[in-house]
Amino acid sequence: MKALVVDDSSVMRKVVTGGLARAGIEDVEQATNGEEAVEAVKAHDFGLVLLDWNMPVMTGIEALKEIRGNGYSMPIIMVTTEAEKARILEAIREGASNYIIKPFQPDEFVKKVKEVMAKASC
Amino acid sequence: MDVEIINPFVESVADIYQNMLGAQVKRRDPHITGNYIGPNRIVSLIGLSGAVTGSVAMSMPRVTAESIVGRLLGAVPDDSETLTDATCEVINMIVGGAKARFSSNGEADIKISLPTVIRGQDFKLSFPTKTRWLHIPFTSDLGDFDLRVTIESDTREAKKS
Repeated sequence: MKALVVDDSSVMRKVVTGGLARAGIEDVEQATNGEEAVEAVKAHDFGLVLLDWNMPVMTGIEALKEIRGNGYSMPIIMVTTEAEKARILEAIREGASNYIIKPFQPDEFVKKVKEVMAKASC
Repeated sequence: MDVEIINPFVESVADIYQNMLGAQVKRRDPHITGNYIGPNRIVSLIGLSGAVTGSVAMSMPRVTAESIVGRLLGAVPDDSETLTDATCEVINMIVGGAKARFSSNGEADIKISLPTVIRGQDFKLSFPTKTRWLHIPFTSDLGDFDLRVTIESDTREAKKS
Protein backbone atom coordinates (compact mmCIF):
# COMPACT_ATOMS: atom_id res chain seq x y z
CA MET A 1 0.00 0.00 0.00
CA LYS A 2 1.36 3.36 -1.00
CA ALA A 3 0.96 6.51 1.09
CA LEU A 4 1.38 10.19 0.20
CA VAL A 5 2.83 12.66 2.72
CA VAL A 6 2.12 16.31 1.95
CA ASP A 7 3.89 19.08 3.90
CA ASP A 8 5.98 22.09 2.88
CA SER A 9 8.43 21.26 5.70
CA SER A 10 11.02 18.65 4.75
CA VAL A 11 11.57 17.92 8.45
CA MET A 12 7.88 17.22 9.01
CA ARG A 13 7.73 15.03 5.91
CA LYS A 14 10.56 12.95 7.39
CA VAL A 15 8.89 12.82 10.81
CA VAL A 16 5.57 11.70 9.30
CA THR A 17 7.29 9.20 7.00
CA GLY A 18 9.11 7.77 10.01
CA GLY A 19 5.79 7.46 11.82
CA LEU A 20 4.26 5.65 8.87
CA ALA A 21 7.16 3.20 8.86
CA ARG A 22 6.43 2.44 12.52
CA ALA A 23 2.81 1.84 11.50
CA GLY A 24 3.99 -0.64 8.89
CA ILE A 25 3.69 1.62 5.83
CA GLU A 26 7.03 1.74 4.01
CA ASP A 27 6.05 2.75 0.48
CA VAL A 28 5.72 6.53 0.76
CA GLU A 29 5.72 9.36 -1.78
CA GLN A 30 6.06 13.01 -0.81
CA ALA A 31 4.59 16.30 -2.01
CA THR A 32 5.44 19.83 -0.87
CA ASN A 33 2.11 21.57 -1.44
CA GLY A 34 -1.54 20.92 -2.19
CA GLU A 35 -1.17 21.28 -5.94
CA GLU A 36 1.52 18.59 -6.05
CA ALA A 37 -0.70 16.42 -3.88
CA VAL A 38 -3.67 16.72 -6.26
CA GLU A 39 -1.48 15.78 -9.22
CA ALA A 40 0.18 12.91 -7.32
CA VAL A 41 -3.20 11.44 -6.41
CA LYS A 42 -4.17 11.46 -10.09
CA ALA A 43 -0.91 9.74 -11.05
CA HIS A 44 -0.65 7.03 -8.38
CA ASP A 45 -2.91 4.70 -6.48
CA PHE A 46 -2.55 5.83 -2.86
CA GLY A 47 -4.15 3.97 0.00
CA LEU A 48 -3.59 6.85 2.43
CA VAL A 49 -2.85 10.58 2.24
CA LEU A 50 -1.46 12.69 5.10
CA LEU A 51 -2.06 16.34 4.46
CA ASP A 52 -0.72 19.50 6.11
CA TRP A 53 -3.03 22.53 6.08
CA ASN A 54 -0.93 25.68 5.66
CA MET A 55 1.21 25.34 2.55
CA PRO A 56 2.16 27.68 -0.29
CA VAL A 57 0.67 27.38 -3.81
CA MET A 58 -2.36 25.38 -2.58
CA THR A 59 -3.38 24.75 1.03
CA GLY A 60 -4.22 21.36 2.41
CA ILE A 61 -7.92 22.14 2.78
CA GLU A 62 -8.07 23.25 -0.87
CA ALA A 63 -6.29 20.07 -1.93
CA LEU A 64 -8.67 18.00 0.20
CA LYS A 65 -11.69 19.57 -1.51
CA GLU A 66 -10.18 18.99 -4.93
CA ILE A 67 -9.16 15.39 -4.25
CA ARG A 68 -12.63 14.53 -2.96
CA GLY A 69 -14.20 16.52 -5.77
CA ASN A 70 -12.23 14.40 -8.24
CA GLY A 71 -13.88 11.32 -6.76
CA TYR A 72 -11.03 9.86 -4.72
CA SER A 73 -12.15 8.12 -1.55
CA MET A 74 -8.92 6.96 0.09
CA PRO A 75 -8.43 7.83 3.75
CA ILE A 76 -7.04 11.35 4.18
CA ILE A 77 -5.64 12.45 7.54
CA MET A 78 -5.00 16.15 8.14
CA VAL A 79 -1.71 16.62 10.05
CA THR A 80 -1.62 20.26 11.04
CA THR A 81 -1.14 22.98 13.67
CA GLU A 82 -4.69 24.21 12.99
CA ALA A 83 -6.25 23.09 16.27
CA GLU A 84 -9.45 25.13 16.52
CA LYS A 85 -12.73 23.21 16.58
CA ALA A 86 -14.02 25.15 13.59
CA ARG A 87 -11.04 24.06 11.50
CA ILE A 88 -11.41 20.43 12.52
CA LEU A 89 -15.10 20.48 11.64
CA GLU A 90 -14.35 22.15 8.32
CA ALA A 91 -11.84 19.43 7.42
CA ILE A 92 -14.22 16.64 8.38
CA ARG A 93 -17.00 18.32 6.41
CA GLU A 94 -14.74 18.47 3.35
CA GLY A 95 -13.95 14.78 3.62
CA ALA A 96 -11.01 14.31 5.97
CA SER A 97 -11.03 10.87 7.55
CA ASN A 98 -9.26 11.99 10.68
CA TYR A 99 -7.21 14.81 12.15
CA ILE A 100 -3.83 14.87 13.92
CA ILE A 101 -2.77 18.10 15.61
CA LYS A 102 0.91 19.06 15.65
CA PRO A 103 2.74 18.60 17.97
CA PHE A 104 1.89 14.95 18.35
CA GLN A 105 3.29 12.09 20.39
CA PRO A 106 4.88 9.55 18.03
CA ASP A 107 2.94 6.65 19.58
CA GLU A 108 -0.35 8.52 19.24
CA PHE A 109 0.41 9.19 15.59
CA VAL A 110 1.01 5.51 14.89
CA LYS A 111 -2.12 4.55 16.80
CA LYS A 112 -4.28 6.98 14.83
CA VAL A 113 -2.90 5.87 11.47
CA LYS A 114 -3.58 2.23 12.33
CA GLU A 115 -7.12 3.10 13.45
CA VAL A 116 -7.82 4.93 10.18
CA MET A 117 -6.45 2.07 8.09
CA ALA A 118 -8.37 -0.53 10.09
CA LYS A 119 -11.59 1.42 9.57
CA ALA A 120 -10.86 1.80 5.86
CA SER A 121 -10.39 -1.93 5.42
CA CYS A 122 -13.82 -2.76 6.90
CA MET B 1 0.68 44.56 27.22
CA ASP B 2 -0.61 42.10 29.82
CA VAL B 3 2.18 39.70 30.83
CA GLU B 4 -0.39 36.87 30.96
CA ILE B 5 -0.45 37.04 27.17
CA ILE B 6 2.63 34.81 27.27
CA ASN B 7 0.79 31.92 28.90
CA PRO B 8 -0.54 30.37 25.65
CA PHE B 9 2.96 30.52 24.17
CA VAL B 10 4.57 28.95 27.23
CA GLU B 11 1.94 26.18 27.29
CA SER B 12 2.50 25.60 23.60
CA VAL B 13 6.26 25.25 24.10
CA ALA B 14 5.67 22.72 26.88
CA ASP B 15 3.29 20.80 24.62
CA ILE B 16 5.91 20.51 21.87
CA TYR B 17 8.72 19.51 24.17
CA GLN B 18 6.70 16.93 26.08
CA ASN B 19 4.76 15.40 23.21
CA MET B 20 6.94 15.66 20.17
CA LEU B 21 10.47 16.02 21.48
CA GLY B 22 10.17 13.97 24.67
CA ALA B 23 12.32 16.52 26.50
CA GLN B 24 12.17 18.69 29.59
CA VAL B 25 11.82 22.43 29.19
CA LYS B 26 11.72 25.15 31.81
CA ARG B 27 10.65 28.74 31.49
CA ARG B 28 12.82 31.27 33.21
CA ASP B 29 11.62 34.69 34.36
CA PRO B 30 10.17 36.79 31.54
CA HIS B 31 11.11 40.44 31.28
CA ILE B 32 10.62 43.40 29.00
CA THR B 33 13.47 43.58 26.56
CA GLY B 34 14.87 45.89 24.01
CA ASN B 35 14.36 45.70 20.33
CA TYR B 36 17.50 43.96 19.25
CA ILE B 37 18.58 40.36 18.75
CA GLY B 38 22.30 39.75 18.34
CA PRO B 39 24.17 37.60 15.81
CA ASN B 40 25.26 33.96 15.88
CA ARG B 41 21.76 32.76 16.50
CA ILE B 42 19.02 31.29 14.35
CA VAL B 43 16.02 33.59 14.56
CA SER B 44 12.56 32.70 13.31
CA LEU B 45 9.78 35.26 13.09
CA ILE B 46 6.06 34.88 12.71
CA GLY B 47 3.25 37.42 12.69
CA LEU B 48 -0.22 37.32 14.18
CA SER B 49 -3.16 39.25 12.75
CA GLY B 50 -6.87 39.52 13.32
CA ALA B 51 -8.28 39.48 16.85
CA VAL B 52 -4.73 39.35 18.23
CA THR B 53 -2.05 41.24 16.32
CA GLY B 54 1.65 41.09 17.03
CA SER B 55 4.83 39.22 16.37
CA VAL B 56 6.72 36.32 17.87
CA ALA B 57 10.45 35.79 17.49
CA MET B 58 12.22 32.59 18.53
CA SER B 59 15.97 32.77 18.90
CA MET B 60 18.43 29.96 19.57
CA PRO B 61 22.07 29.07 19.04
CA ARG B 62 22.81 26.64 16.24
CA VAL B 63 23.63 23.85 18.72
CA THR B 64 20.08 23.99 20.14
CA ALA B 65 18.58 23.81 16.65
CA GLU B 66 20.81 20.82 15.87
CA SER B 67 19.66 19.08 19.06
CA ILE B 68 16.00 19.67 18.24
CA VAL B 69 16.35 18.31 14.72
CA GLY B 70 18.43 15.43 16.01
CA ARG B 71 15.61 14.54 18.40
CA LEU B 72 12.99 14.80 15.62
CA LEU B 73 14.89 12.89 12.97
CA GLY B 74 17.20 10.67 14.98
CA ALA B 75 20.29 12.26 13.47
CA VAL B 76 21.95 15.67 13.69
CA PRO B 77 21.68 17.36 10.29
CA ASP B 78 24.76 18.46 8.43
CA ASP B 79 23.01 21.11 6.36
CA SER B 80 21.72 24.54 7.30
CA GLU B 81 18.57 24.15 5.21
CA THR B 82 17.27 21.40 7.48
CA LEU B 83 17.95 23.57 10.55
CA THR B 84 16.09 26.46 8.95
CA ASP B 85 13.18 24.22 8.05
CA ALA B 86 13.04 22.78 11.56
CA THR B 87 13.04 26.17 13.29
CA CYS B 88 10.24 27.28 10.95
CA GLU B 89 8.22 24.25 11.90
CA VAL B 90 8.86 24.67 15.63
CA ILE B 91 7.79 28.32 15.71
CA ASN B 92 4.81 27.39 13.53
CA MET B 93 3.75 24.82 16.14
CA ILE B 94 4.38 27.21 19.05
CA VAL B 95 2.32 30.02 17.55
CA GLY B 96 -0.29 27.64 16.13
CA GLY B 97 -0.80 26.16 19.58
CA ALA B 98 -0.98 29.62 21.15
CA LYS B 99 -3.48 30.71 18.50
CA ALA B 100 -5.74 27.78 19.36
CA ARG B 101 -5.52 28.69 23.04
CA PHE B 102 -6.31 32.37 22.31
CA SER B 103 -9.40 31.38 20.34
CA SER B 104 -10.50 28.54 22.62
CA ASN B 105 -14.02 29.97 22.76
CA GLY B 106 -14.20 29.57 19.01
CA GLU B 107 -14.94 33.22 18.38
CA ALA B 108 -11.58 34.84 17.83
CA ASP B 109 -10.38 34.98 14.24
CA ILE B 110 -6.60 34.94 14.37
CA LYS B 111 -4.29 34.36 11.42
CA ILE B 112 -0.60 33.58 11.49
CA SER B 113 1.89 34.43 8.79
CA LEU B 114 4.31 32.09 7.12
CA PRO B 115 7.49 32.02 9.22
CA THR B 116 10.71 33.81 8.28
CA VAL B 117 14.13 32.59 9.41
CA ILE B 118 17.26 34.70 9.74
CA ARG B 119 20.62 33.09 10.39
CA GLY B 120 24.23 34.04 10.05
CA GLN B 121 27.37 35.09 11.80
CA ASP B 122 27.04 38.84 11.58
CA PHE B 123 23.62 40.43 11.75
CA LYS B 124 21.67 42.68 14.03
CA LEU B 125 17.90 42.41 14.07
CA SER B 126 16.08 45.56 15.14
CA PHE B 127 12.43 46.54 15.41
CA PRO B 128 10.67 49.91 15.61
CA THR B 129 11.92 51.65 18.73
CA LYS B 130 8.49 51.83 20.36
CA THR B 131 8.04 48.07 20.19
CA ARG B 132 8.06 46.43 23.61
CA TRP B 133 8.89 42.75 23.69
CA LEU B 134 8.27 40.26 26.44
CA HIS B 135 11.41 38.15 26.49
CA ILE B 136 10.84 34.60 27.71
CA PRO B 137 14.05 32.60 28.21
CA PHE B 138 13.85 28.81 28.27
CA THR B 139 16.28 26.12 29.28
CA SER B 140 15.84 22.56 28.11
CA ASP B 141 17.47 19.16 27.70
CA LEU B 142 18.08 20.18 24.10
CA GLY B 143 19.66 23.56 24.81
CA ASP B 144 18.64 27.11 25.59
CA PHE B 145 16.39 29.27 23.46
CA ASP B 146 14.10 32.22 23.91
CA LEU B 147 10.82 33.60 22.70
CA ARG B 148 10.10 37.26 22.27
CA VAL B 149 6.45 38.26 22.06
CA THR B 150 4.98 41.64 21.22
CA ILE B 151 1.23 42.13 21.03
CA GLU B 152 -0.02 45.32 19.42
CA SER B 153 -3.74 44.73 19.98
CA ASP B 154 -6.08 42.13 21.47
CA THR B 155 -9.75 42.50 20.55
CA ARG B 156 -11.03 39.09 21.58
CA GLU B 157 -14.59 39.09 22.97
CA ALA B 158 -13.55 37.36 26.20
CA LYS B 159 -11.10 40.12 26.95
CA LYS B 160 -13.77 42.81 26.39
CA SER B 161 -16.17 41.20 28.81
